[in-house]
Amino acid sequence: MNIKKLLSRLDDFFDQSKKKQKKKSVKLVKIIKLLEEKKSELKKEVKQEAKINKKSKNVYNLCKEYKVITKMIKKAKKQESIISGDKISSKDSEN
Amino acid sequence: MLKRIISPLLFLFFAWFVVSNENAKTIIAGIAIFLIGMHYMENGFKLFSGGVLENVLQKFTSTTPKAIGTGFLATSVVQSSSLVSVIVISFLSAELMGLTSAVGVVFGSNIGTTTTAWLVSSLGLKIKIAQYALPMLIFGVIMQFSKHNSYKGLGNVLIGLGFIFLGIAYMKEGFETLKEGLNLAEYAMAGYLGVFVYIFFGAVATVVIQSSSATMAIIITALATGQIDYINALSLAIGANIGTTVTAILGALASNKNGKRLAVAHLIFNLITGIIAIIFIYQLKDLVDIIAPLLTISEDDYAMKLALFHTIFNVIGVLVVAPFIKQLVRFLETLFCTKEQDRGQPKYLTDEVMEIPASALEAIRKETIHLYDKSLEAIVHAMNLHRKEIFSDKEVHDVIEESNLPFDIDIDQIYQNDIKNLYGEILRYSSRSQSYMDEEGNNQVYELKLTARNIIETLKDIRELQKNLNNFTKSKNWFMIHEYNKLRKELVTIFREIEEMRSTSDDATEIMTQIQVLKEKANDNEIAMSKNIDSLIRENKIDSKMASSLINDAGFTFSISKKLLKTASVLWVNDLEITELGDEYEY
Repeated sequence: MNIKKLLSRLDDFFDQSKKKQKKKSVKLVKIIKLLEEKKSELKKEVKQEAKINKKSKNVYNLCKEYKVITKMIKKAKKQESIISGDKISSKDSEN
Repeated sequence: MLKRIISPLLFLFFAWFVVSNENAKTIIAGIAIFLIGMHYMENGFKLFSGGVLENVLQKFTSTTPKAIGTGFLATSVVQSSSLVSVIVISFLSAELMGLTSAVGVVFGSNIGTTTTAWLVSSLGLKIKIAQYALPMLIFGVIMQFSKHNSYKGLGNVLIGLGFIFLGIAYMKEGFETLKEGLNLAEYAMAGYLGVFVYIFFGAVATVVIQSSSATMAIIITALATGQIDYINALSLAIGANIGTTVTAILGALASNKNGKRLAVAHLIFNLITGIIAIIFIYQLKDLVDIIAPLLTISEDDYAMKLALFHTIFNVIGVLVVAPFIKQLVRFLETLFCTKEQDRGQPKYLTDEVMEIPASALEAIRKETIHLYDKSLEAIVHAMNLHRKEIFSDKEVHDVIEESNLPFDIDIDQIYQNDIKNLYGEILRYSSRSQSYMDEEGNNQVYELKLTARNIIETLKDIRELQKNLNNFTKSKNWFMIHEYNKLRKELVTIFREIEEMRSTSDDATEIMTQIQVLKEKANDNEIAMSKNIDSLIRENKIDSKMASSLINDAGFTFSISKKLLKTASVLWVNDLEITELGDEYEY
């Protein structure tokens, strides 16, 4: 093994950034899944509550939460796609 | 004055002694090299471990036996009880570890430090270790040129080991030549008088050298070269154990009250262990003679026997003191209790933590929470309310209606006395600790600094709000009283929600969702409030001066709400990925 290869292997060992990105991506996927589940639960709740009174405070609160979760999912998906994109480009550059 | 004269005189005497005595020069140079080695290794582990050691300590100290085991293992691996002690103090300061666990780690560390004696006695005196020292130094220095922290850390560890081995070799050489001219054994006294004299020598030597491991290395080399006899060496080892507490006490002087308590625990432990060892020194010597053959230690291998003695009496110390750890901690907690005399002083920012990224980050976070709590108290009082009422079970409406009398409170004075210094300390400490952190750590500290600034800005906003609040709550215009109470209600609701999230929920996603919901609601309320003010103006219920004050103060109120929610998302959503899912905030 030449010195360049040895050094690049050592660099890979010490450089945890790729590993960290992969970890972050896995975590984001989990968060997205969790938020999606919550979103579908909320949707059901909003429908049920709206049947009783469309303009109640409860419906208002649930709608706010639904809106927030939708926004968070969108943001999480965007971030996850950026990280996945990075992974692809780094693989490409290796090839 | 006396110190000014004595210190140079002592230094001159020491210089004369070193220059005039060839053997002493070699031994003392060996000690100096050994200490440089320990210093390098300690710094190297700080860079190389990159938080690994801290993570292990945090996970494995949940029970006393685990804490003792962890202290033993960590000290055995890094070969430095002082490094482990510093990390433990940093955990204590950052409240990542309780005092009970920390005391357990220090006890275990006392056993762990005895492995130095085993290493020196088994490797140091049988192999020509100096031949390994030089390659270690060469590769260590080469790695020092690397830009990468981990390489540098590895380089430091290698340099440290190299110097330690070289130091031992020099000490050994010094004692070898000293043996021909001087025999320390000539000064030995029989019985307990001799034991006490050598205990005293051991303690003083450790205080002077500031390292029990170095003293043990000297004792073992002196014993191996026949400078002292076996029982003298045992007494010196007991003395070294007692002397090492002085190092911990010196180290704790600059730390917070928990650091000082830990140093007292260390002192108590070593004194008890020392007393036991002194009383039973001859019995322990016999015990070593019984156990030594079982470990294939030959009868005349006194260096190994000393290492065994060192381990046995520390293990006995742990066995005797550990069952009383809870009582010891209860006693320690009664010490160093200060009153609120240190207004505006940081509680968590200790210098020992600064170079350890994970602990420094946690300390800054906790100090920012401290800043939040102090500021919240001022904000609540400026709104003519009491904290107790806000966080009670009372309806928000009742809390507002029941307290309308203005408080005699000067926000500027509170800022100057209680907040300004604390904020300044957070900024100073953050900026200094950032130089030891990687990019991610730097970003997190930057976010915390902005949060601290956010908190200060809320104080400035409330100062503006307070002036009109006090005027208009006494106003004859009912609409103005009602509108200002609505502003107070808005803030009280936010305070309550944040407090509830902070104390009840551990789920970062849940907290973040709630914060975002509150932010959305605050936006809706701001729009509704603005519409309401418009209609009050149109219907001539408030005059133009009142309207301008109300519009400005509504702006301050909603600005405070949003800043507090942003603060909560940084301080209590302790998860970077989830914090990033929140709305971006314009600082």
